[in-house]
Amino acid sequence: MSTAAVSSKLRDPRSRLGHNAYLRIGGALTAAVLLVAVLGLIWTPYAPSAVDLLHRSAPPAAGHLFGTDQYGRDVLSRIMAGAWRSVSLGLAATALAAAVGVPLGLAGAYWRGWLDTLMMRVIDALLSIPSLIFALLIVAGLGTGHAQAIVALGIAAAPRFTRVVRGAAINAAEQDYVTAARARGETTLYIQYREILPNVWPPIVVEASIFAGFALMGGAALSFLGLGTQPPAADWGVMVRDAQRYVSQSWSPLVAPAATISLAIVGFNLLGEGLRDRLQLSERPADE
Amino acid sequence: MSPAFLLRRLFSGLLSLAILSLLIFACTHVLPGDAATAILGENATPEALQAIRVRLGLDRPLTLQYAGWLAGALRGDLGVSATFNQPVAEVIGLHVANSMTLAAITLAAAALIAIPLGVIAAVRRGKALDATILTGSYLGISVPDFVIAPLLILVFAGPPLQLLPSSGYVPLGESSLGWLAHIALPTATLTLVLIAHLMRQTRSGMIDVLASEYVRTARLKGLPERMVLLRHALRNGLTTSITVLALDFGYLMGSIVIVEEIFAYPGLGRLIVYAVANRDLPLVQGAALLIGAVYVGANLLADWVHGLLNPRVAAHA
Repeated sequence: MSTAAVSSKLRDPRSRLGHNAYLRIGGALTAAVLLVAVLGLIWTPYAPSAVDLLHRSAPPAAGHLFGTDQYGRDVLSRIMAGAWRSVSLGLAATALAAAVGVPLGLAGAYWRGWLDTLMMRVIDALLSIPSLIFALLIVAGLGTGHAQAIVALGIAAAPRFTRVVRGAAINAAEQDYVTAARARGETTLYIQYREILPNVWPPIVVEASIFAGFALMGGAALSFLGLGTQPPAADWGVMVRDAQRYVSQSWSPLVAPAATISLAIVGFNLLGEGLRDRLQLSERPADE
Repeated sequence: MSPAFLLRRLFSGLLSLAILSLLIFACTHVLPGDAATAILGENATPEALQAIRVRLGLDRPLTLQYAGWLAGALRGDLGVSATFNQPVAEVIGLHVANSMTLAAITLAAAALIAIPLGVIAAVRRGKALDATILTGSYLGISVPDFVIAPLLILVFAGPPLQLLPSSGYVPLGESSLGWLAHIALPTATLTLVLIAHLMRQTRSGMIDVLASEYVRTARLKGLPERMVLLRHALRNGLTTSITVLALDFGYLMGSIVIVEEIFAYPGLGRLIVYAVANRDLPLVQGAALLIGAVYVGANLLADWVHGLLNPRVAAHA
């Protein structure tokens, strides 16, 4: 480790605050969320859409841990059933952003030149529109729905992803092993994906984990605005939207999915931060 | 600060806007469905659709349509809203001031709260107070706006307290108290969303400054810590905060969309959600273009202030 790296490590405030805990808490939360999402596909305490008119807006109790909503539906069951839709949206949008960002970022870093310059100019411009507005623009074109929300969020995040990949790969592309690979006549695709990519995956993984949290938030936001998942299907955003109107009758249908969304976001974020720490990457620059 | 620096920034801002306009146009045209089907609905006859396409100029080649739209936008003519049957610029004009009010109050409140807290956290780095502020900001980043707002409604507009209205808007001219009551919860939500990030970035900016050579020199020459902080460190630390504030402006505009929708606040954000839900494409385009322009403008302003505070930036850029 160079002296600069050592001193920046010493200056890192988080090493005092027990930062390894981030990885553990984040990992545990993320695992729990994924578990609930998968479990919700096969089992819920009650049928998520089962209406019980005798127990409408019931407060949390032994029979209904998170209470019931305005139709007497079990809130816990609905959270579990909606988990897969919310979580898969976050993960799928992240995968899409990576699928666009990794090839573009690698290509830009490897070839440089005017095409790369042009790409970075376009990316700068795209980053000058707030990502939720960008996603709304795409939804305006594609229409509302779960799949459309995935595409909108994934595309909206692709520029940022491309920049992260390119930024990481640009140093790697100048290393001796790349020159060596070129000298022994490897194809450019081989060099980009077999030589450069394995050396730059840490920042990509960190970015992906943090973005998964944001995508989950963005997906819930779109659903909340009535532009994502369409009722009667419900994800966490739809649940918050529905519950908001009946909040004076009962608070648990609002607070429970709201807390779940927040915990899931915290989980993905902490996992990303913890990974960053574990992989000994420097803190992201102030403009991120 | 050299005019060349500002000019260069202005040029790159305009270039961003040009690319952005292309993107906005592409999103709303290349994707399936157009304004004609949006106006007439799914069951319109092909003849009626064709007639309206000709009237709206949708039968022309895309490049011509784009050129026409852009030329209009430069003159302030953004076309006619498909659902309001009014010029887009007029519809937007009715809403934009309300959103700007929210944004201005939020930015001021967030800066006044977050920057001092961030500085305190940096000075007390590693202590309990710092950990508290950091944890608090972490929560603030992770709890989304559309969760904070209903919770605030639950507490302040809900049954026991019923202090504030849960939605709606009263113009300032009608009743200043009513106006204040109606913007209180929206701005509180937005401020809570913003301070978390601003606080974190101020803290890390200040930590870097406090670890720098010139601060060490100031300390070594025996200046009291107060002076080191106020006269030397703060000025450079604040440049980070200003940059972050400008970048957060984009984030803020995303949050404004959600907050306006929740509180039924008649602003640009609610308008754009309405336009997207009803596929009023001219309105979506106009609103998105305006938001992009405002954001680019905010960044220019931040560059300028940044240059004033730190002349080296302008000299080296």
